[in-house]
Amino acid sequence: MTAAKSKLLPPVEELRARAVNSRTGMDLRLSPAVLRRLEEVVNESRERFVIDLAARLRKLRTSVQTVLDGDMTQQDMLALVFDESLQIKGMGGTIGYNVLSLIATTLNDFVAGRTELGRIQFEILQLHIDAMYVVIADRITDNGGILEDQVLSGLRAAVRKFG
Amino acid sequence: MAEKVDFSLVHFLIVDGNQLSADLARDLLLTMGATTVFVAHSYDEAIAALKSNVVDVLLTELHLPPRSGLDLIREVRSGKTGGSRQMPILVMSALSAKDHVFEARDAGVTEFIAKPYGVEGFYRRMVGIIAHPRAFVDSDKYYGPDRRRRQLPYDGPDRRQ
Repeated sequence: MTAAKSKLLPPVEELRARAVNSRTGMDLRLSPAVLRRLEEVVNESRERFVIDLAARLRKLRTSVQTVLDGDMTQQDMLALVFDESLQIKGMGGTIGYNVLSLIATTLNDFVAGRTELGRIQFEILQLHIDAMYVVIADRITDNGGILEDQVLSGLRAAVRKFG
Repeated sequence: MAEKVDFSLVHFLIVDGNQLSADLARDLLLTMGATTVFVAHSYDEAIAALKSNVVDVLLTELHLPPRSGLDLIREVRSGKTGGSRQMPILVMSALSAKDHVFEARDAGVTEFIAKPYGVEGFYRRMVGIIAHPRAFVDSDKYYGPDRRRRQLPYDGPDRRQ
């Protein structure tokens, strides 16, 4: 069997020729002034993000309760948890809630590919949601402190042991 | 004279089902000087936007249920969307495990930035994909940017010409 033949095409320079110059626009290297302006953009969106994140957490908690009430299958809940935890992971750290993203990452990895949970796994899922609630309610930004670190380590250990 | 990137001369399309994430990426681009930023929230909206607008740079999430950002990347690289097959494509996704990054690379993505991302990484990648275009590989099984990041000597069989 022979390998597929391939051609190497030179870079297309049209976009570069149009947009790159020495007079107008942004420096190739990010300047402190532009960095400040970009960070302001993120800061301005922070409150909207927090409100949205809180709504997603409410949705997660409601779905857990709906499963407990017997009105939703675990499979449907897990699909929802996968989607929402992925969004929370992507959004949290963007606005400085790094620890929120880290918890959401653990949760997302935990539910990925699952269609059902045992009793302990269900509790682990609930613990993740509760921990994220605390992060948002107490506005714990960056990587949190020693306590948050211990909570995260505990969740990861639980996932390793029972995942 | 130092080189600059004039983002006002570049047309962007952001594809993200998350409204706030899409808005943030758009606002960052506008702050960098962009003036034409299209936004789509699904695969179908993205295809429609690509077919009805001139788009120079595509920024897409991988998680676009019920479809995938990979489908969108493959569609662009196949030339079926009407734009340039060599359009720079930046994936911005929370699906950032190694397997997802490799899948995106093999679908023909130009750059990947994992969510959550910082503004410095975003800026660096936007500048890079415009100011430093990459060579492309055209083969039976792959059409996309040259995936080799390191130049290692190779004189064996089937060496690319």
